[in-house]
Amino acid sequence: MSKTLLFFLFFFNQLLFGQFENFDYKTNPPEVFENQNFSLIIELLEFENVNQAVLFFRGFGEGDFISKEMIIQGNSLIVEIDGRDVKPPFIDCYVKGLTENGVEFTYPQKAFETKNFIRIDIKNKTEQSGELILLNPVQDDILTKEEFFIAFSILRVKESLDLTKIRIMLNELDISRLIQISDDLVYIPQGSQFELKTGVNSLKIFLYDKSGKLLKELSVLFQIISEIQKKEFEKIKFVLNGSAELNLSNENLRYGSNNFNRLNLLVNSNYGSIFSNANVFITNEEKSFLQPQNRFSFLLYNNWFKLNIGDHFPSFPSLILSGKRVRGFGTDIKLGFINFQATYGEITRKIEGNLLTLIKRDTIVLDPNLIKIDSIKYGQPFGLVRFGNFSRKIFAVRPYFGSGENFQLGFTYLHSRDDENSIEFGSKPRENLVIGSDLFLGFDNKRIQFNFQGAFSFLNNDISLGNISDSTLDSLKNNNNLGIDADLLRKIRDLLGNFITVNQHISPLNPHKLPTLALETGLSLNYLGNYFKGNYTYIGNDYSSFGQNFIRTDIKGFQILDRISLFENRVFLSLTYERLNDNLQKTKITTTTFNNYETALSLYLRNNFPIINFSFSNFDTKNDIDQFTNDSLSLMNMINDNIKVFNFSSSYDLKYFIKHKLSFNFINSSKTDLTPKDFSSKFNSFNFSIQNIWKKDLNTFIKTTFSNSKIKNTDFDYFSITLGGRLSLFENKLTNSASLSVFSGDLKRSVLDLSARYSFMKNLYSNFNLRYIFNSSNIKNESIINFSLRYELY
Amino acid sequence: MKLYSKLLLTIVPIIIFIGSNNIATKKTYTAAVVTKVIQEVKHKSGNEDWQTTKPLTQLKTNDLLKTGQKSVAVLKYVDGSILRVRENSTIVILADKREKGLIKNTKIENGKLVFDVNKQSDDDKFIITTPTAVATIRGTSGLIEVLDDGSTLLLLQTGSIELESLGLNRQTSVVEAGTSSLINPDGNIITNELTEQQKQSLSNAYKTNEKTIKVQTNRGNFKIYYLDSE
Repeated sequence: MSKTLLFFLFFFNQLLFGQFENFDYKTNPPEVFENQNFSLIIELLEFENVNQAVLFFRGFGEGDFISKEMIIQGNSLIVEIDGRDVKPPFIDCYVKGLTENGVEFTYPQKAFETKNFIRIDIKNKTEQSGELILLNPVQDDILTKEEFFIAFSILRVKESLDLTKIRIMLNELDISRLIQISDDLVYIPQGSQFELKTGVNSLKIFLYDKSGKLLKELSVLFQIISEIQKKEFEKIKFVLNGSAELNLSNENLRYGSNNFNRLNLLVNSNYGSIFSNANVFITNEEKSFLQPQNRFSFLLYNNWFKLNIGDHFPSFPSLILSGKRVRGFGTDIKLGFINFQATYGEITRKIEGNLLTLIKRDTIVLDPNLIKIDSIKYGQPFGLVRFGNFSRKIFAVRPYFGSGENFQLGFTYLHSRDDENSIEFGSKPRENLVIGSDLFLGFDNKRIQFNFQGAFSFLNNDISLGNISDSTLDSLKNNNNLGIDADLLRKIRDLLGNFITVNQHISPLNPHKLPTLALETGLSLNYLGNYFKGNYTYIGNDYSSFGQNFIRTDIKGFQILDRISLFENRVFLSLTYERLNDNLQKTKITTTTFNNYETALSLYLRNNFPIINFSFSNFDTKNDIDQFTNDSLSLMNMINDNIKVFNFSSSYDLKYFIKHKLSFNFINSSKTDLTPKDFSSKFNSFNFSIQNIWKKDLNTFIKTTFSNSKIKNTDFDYFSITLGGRLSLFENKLTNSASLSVFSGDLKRSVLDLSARYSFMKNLYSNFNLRYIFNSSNIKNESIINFSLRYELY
Repeated sequence: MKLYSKLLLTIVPIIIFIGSNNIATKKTYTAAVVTKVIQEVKHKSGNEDWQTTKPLTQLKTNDLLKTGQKSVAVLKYVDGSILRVRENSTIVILADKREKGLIKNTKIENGKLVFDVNKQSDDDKFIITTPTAVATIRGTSGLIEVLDDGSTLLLLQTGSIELESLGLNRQTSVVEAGTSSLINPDGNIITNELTEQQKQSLSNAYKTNEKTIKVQTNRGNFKIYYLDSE
């Protein structure tokens, strides 16, 4: 192969990248199939000190987003999506988080408001046609000599195959003369004169077409053991497996250079029906001034009992506790009708603040960061400080009745409180109490399902002064002008004070308006391939649960969904409509109404026909401010916009000399802002990619993107082309991949990705990745280098 | 909006394009091969006597296979799909090779089997038939069991299955991963979420490890074979 050709065979980067604003995203594996776990990695292009990040995602036709906390690794945010949530044709998601400075961010920016989500295509896994199907032995099989035989199927390749030219090599010895054929089954029986050795053996199969050209090639390694070894093997009742991975990275970005070192140990074991998982993740990003980045977890479970120790993510009713990392203990005991789950631990680690300046009593200034300090210790009575974070613990318990097959009724109690003694320089420790109930009813084999959850929260925004005192209550009683029933307050304090600190900082202060009530109820019907669901939501403006940080408050309304599957699940039609409004407690000067509808059509026709998806969404947001008003303040707050999003995507496996995978995606989004602010915008994006599968170990690909956006009168256009490929060598022990992306237009840069993976042994391998970004002239070039070594124990 | 309407009008007629031109060409066909045998497994073809099954036993159309106490047979179809036939089960292989595609129908008379079926192409079908149900499978794994009263219990681990009951109240249903379905002899299909016990049962059903216990007695030493998961 000439050097020129090698140069152009830039090898396919295993991790396909998508481009969005100031971040990239990729999935691992790059092609995501239904029901399969995958990782989503968000790479921040601009340096951000991220303290917490949560992914919100929802499947096709689903109204509700599921939240999941992401792992922060340098400038990467990583989350693994469970296969149960992976349904075709796509998943929409966005990231919400907090920086170290407490600034909230969203990727893509204003994703929820503009409906500009990250969209991950989910593919239906179709059978690989034209494949040689090995039946025995399979890769990594462990067999005795007596058990060994060879069998494979030519069902998918028979038409073009020359049956007389099948070649089988066992440990590099040609044993093709022993072949027997029965219909589509090719085999060599036991007892044939095999040259097998104890230990690792290799089997290679070569199929040729009628012109003598190599059609298919397959090789596997398997292990031959003695009868004695087999018996020893079978005596092992305790099963242990796991992995250890060391990861070293250097990021040399325009904002600075950083090294990241990570070690991840995972051990799984089971003894009979008792299973355990232990996970240790250690990183040099663990800093005392950040929330924990290391992870330690141990899980012990069987079919009715579960115990979590260390970092875990308890799953309670979603309004109360969900997607939150807790460092402590969790349990779930299922006894049949009576069941119980509980969790206790720390959700926020203490981070000490800093004393910036000592202030004398006579030079006191008005500053929110001025606090009283220990004058004996510091010599002055006051100090200007940077506040730290209190340690915050959470306790939640949920007794529940019924298995959830036809009935389940649960009651949840959550209490969470800042430890005001945990740090010296802190302000306004807070306390939260949430009580709630949930109900599930299923009828007619669950074709009819009814779900309900409700919660009522109390939040105290400053517990430093403790409960309201009797003297304060007496003074209120004596001041009739305030119209406060002091006796009632005393009763409330005495009753509620057993659970949460009661003082003037508690909410709700107006409980009759239900500002801290949250309700969600839904009814679904599943008949004749038609899935219908209706939901009603009410979440008061002051509802707050420390177990659920990112809930959308001050909203009520309904959503209906109808998903129809036609022609043996080959055609899916989905329609949703939702109408929501805010300002439930009249705390805003105007009420905003959200009228949204979405429709999607997915076509999975024949196996050799393109997969086609269409979706169209319309989002209307309007508040009740008159556009002709003369009140400038009202005009500032006026909202009246419409967003339309049209998406078409298609993928097709084309056979033209070799196999090609083609995919096309088009998104058109336009926002019309009818207010005087006129924040109208337009966004168009075309993506086309073609992957050429030359051989099993050689792929190349080309990908192009054209993006055009216009916000107000500002255009932002770019075009990118990516060339890449992948080559495997030395019986797949070494896999090299490379890609080069060139951007032109308003985004000028080139990105070179190189990677190599080498397997030292079947359970020990290393990865090397380099990303080099050539920026335009006024920005320095950037690089990310990553090396990892992984050992698997099994 | 006109552009969207045109696109829709162009594509929607494609939905109707579903064709089939299968022609039966052969009656007996080597559909599967047994890859693992634990303890007592037998098979028979036509009017022949039952024969002891060994690894590499080939199963053709209309062949029967049965397993005894604490016995398991693992067989692989030529499309790579795997069936683990658990103890005290009897199955019939009903494969039909056509000009395009292969129809595989495994009839289970009694007992239980675990299936891990590869995704089927348009021309292929993978069917499991019980006395009370027909399950059409497209890339799915799970367990199917014929209970003593003739009812069928289906535990589905991944994918989805089209299920048709055969009783008087004949019903059809598409069942999804993570559910169990009970098909009564009268044709009613009752679907629920998998219980923890059923999940465990599914997990155990994949195990085929044979264990040995040596027992020393006055009259000599005996070996007892048993299945790890049972």
